[in-house]
Amino acid sequence: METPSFMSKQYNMHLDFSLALGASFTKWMQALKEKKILGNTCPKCKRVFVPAKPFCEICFEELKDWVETDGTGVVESFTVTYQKFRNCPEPPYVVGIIRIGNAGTCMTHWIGGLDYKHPDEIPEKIKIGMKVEPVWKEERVGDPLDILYFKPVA
Amino acid sequence: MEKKAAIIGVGMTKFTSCRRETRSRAELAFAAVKDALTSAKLELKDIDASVYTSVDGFEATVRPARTLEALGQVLNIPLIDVNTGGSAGGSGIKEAVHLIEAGIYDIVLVYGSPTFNSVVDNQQVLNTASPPIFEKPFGIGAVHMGAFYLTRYMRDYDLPEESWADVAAKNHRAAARNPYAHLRKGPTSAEILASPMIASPIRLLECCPTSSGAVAMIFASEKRAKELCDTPVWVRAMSSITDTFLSGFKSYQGFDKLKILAQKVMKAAGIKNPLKEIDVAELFNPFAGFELLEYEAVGFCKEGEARRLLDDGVTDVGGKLPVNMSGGVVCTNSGISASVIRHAEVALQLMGKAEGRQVKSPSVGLAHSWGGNDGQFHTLAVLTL
Amino acid sequence: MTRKVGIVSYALEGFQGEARMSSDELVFRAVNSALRKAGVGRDSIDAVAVSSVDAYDGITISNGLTAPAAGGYEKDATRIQGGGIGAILSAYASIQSGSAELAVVAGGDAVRYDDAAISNASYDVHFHRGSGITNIQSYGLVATSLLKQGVATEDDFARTAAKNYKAGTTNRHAHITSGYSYEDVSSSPMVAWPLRALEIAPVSKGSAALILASEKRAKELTRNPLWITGIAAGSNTYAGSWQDLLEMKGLRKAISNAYKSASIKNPIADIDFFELYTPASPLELAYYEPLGLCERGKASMLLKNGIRFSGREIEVNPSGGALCTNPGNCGGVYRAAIAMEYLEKHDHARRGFIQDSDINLGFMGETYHVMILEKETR
Ligand SMILES: [Zn+2]
Repeated sequence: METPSFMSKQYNMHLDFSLALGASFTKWMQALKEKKILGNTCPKCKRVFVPAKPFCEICFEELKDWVETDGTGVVESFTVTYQKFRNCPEPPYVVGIIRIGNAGTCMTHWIGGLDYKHPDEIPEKIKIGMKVEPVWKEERVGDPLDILYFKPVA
Repeated sequence: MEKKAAIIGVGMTKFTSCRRETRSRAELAFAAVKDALTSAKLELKDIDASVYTSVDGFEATVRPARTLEALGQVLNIPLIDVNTGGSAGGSGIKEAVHLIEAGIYDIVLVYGSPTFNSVVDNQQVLNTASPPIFEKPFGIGAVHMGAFYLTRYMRDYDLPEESWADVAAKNHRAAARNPYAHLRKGPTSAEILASPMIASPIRLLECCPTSSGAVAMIFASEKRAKELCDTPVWVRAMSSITDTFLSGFKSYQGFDKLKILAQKVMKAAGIKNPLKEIDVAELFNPFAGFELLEYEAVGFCKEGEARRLLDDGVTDVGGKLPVNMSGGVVCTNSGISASVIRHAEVALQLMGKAEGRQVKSPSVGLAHSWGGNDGQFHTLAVLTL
Repeated sequence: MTRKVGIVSYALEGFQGEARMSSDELVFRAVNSALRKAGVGRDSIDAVAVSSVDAYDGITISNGLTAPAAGGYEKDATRIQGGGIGAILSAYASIQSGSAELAVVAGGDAVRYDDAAISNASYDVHFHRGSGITNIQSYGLVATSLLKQGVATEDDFARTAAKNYKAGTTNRHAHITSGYSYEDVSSSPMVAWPLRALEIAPVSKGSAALILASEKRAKELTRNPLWITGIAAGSNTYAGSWQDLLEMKGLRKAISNAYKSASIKNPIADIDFFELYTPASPLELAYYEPLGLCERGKASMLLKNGIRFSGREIEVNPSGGALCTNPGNCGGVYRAAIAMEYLEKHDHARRGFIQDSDINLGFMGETYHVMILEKETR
């Protein structure tokens, strides 16, 4: 029998973790159940954060004031995925950078409800600055995936 | 008078596909460190401290530095473990430079680990016989994030898709001349445009592969550098910048944080006109198109004008400011060693030792690294003879 | 020309067994109060060094989350894995090199994890991981050697633990404040012979922040800066001989370099207290000799008689040490902060010694850091 010049061994690192979300994220997630997209504002620079955050990284202030948005936003950028990635949806799918209301931050979510015949047409169906709105799940648990996707506002 | 730090030795292995790698991580480290020591005419016992750079998760080991014995721990020297994601190479180099400039150590080794080696690719992104492309660890998330920047840039400046392919082809041609590079077949723009779309507007041959190989660099204090090396490469200025975490203020319009960093570093280096004063650059481009946005961020040209620099051949072989003559990250992405390599390549160019890819007598170079979730961190260094 | 680097402010959040918020929020709170105490805003910071290990945060590149929380937005920031004093060394070098005037060092621990499983995942995958070795077993291996060498007895291990627990009752930041007695410790379950449950550190949640400053800035910001007069590190090789490991050569190298730069000739005369990272009680006994507190083999005697110089007692782990408070990411930052608090509260105390290492992941391939912090001499 021939001795191999090198061997490989397979291994993995399986570790479990648990994390408290903290007050801000908890409140934000809970509001999704009520089909509400909340934001919180910085007392100093007045930026609105959607999703909400515990503090403003620039002014270094706690964020305690809340606002309710109407849920609509604009597309800042996007990409259409054409190949299968592990643990990701079946292609094609569109990931968008969506600015809700006048938020200083953007949400990452899917863009759907597009009308096309062939996947190659998708990029042309989306404009930067296009207005979008959330399509909600029937059963909501308080998670960003309570929103199925954002669709163009008719 | 501030203390100065210089690069006096560079060592690297040849790069290949992670899947075709037969060398162990210990063998790769030993080869790179040995090569760096030899090029600096030093022995292991001359090192005062070592800096290890990688990202634990990709190595599926917590603090992989601890089990890697090639970094002088046998002599009980400090082992400094820097992990800032993809930019860890730049961060580790900055650490070494600070430690020397502070007068704490005279000789510091920086090691760039082949981060992706342990990653198993059972489910390749693409059913293709072409070189192994884009496996899960770097692929997912990163390509989408890259695509957001490029989509926005195309729409803002009416850039034709051909420009992404052209800049990719420039890198592939350079890699073909670099004996250490991973992808060396040098596809043309037309071939690149014919490769499959991964995440619009990024095509397969505009994406980095997952490569294996290691790099080591030796840094020295001014006194030791002058004693040991005929062509020390001085770190004239270096810094880093941090963006917010995932839900940042990003609208994906150019690399705004790199622009702020570049202004700071150029000022510290006394550079007023980067295009005129810099002779060679290595800019971090896991997706070929990034290079164009980086021309603008580091100040080689105004916003929206990167395409003209490319089309005029300014950044190609024989141009005023050749960029990524190594073939860039898009042809060799070995994880964290890729961010160390940006500096190693510029150092080799300035030393006149860039075999097969040497630029004609450069004296000022720029090295950039980039990493973290959503490209949160950048480092930038001005290196000079 | 030697410049000085001072620590001008510190803040702690915690410590307890469970966190109620995420690590970035915890880090933000500590850094924010440290900045307020120093009377400076985030704008004045030049550099940020975060101390953390990805596995203890449960995410990859976890400093992405915590660097902005430590004030790093649009700043020069880095992350050191290997102990809080390692991050302090990074900030110290930034200031000494002239690249920064004011720097933040911070770390936070929020995520619930299995400490031993993470340690196991740090061992060599082909040769050690499968054997079931973790940090706890590695402490047990060292403890066994101490017994065999006659350095200490099992009784000494329990007494050392009880001494730490007693000290912890007076530390308002400590996680464990129940003051377990010698009897409690020596009757607690055997975990990895010769180590009993109460001789092993818990895992604590909380955060810690420090503000480091150049000599000039330190003097502007406070009338009582504490100066870092010695800071050094040393490592041990992973698969070196067992003898090398027991000798703790990396620790010895760090100690001798720090003593040298702080001009310390006789540690018992020159240092007022020691805060050591001893996540298992036998390690405190193992460190007495390398620190220069006793002769080889005399640790047990030192424990019985106490460490004295000119009639005053020199304290080791006055905070209660790691047995009372053991956060994985910010441990070294916490110990530096607690040493500052000690120096503030004790007029007689002039100089403290702080030690840190990454043996929370276990022995083999570990790195040691030490630091000497002292008051301005008048
Ligand atoms: Zn604000």
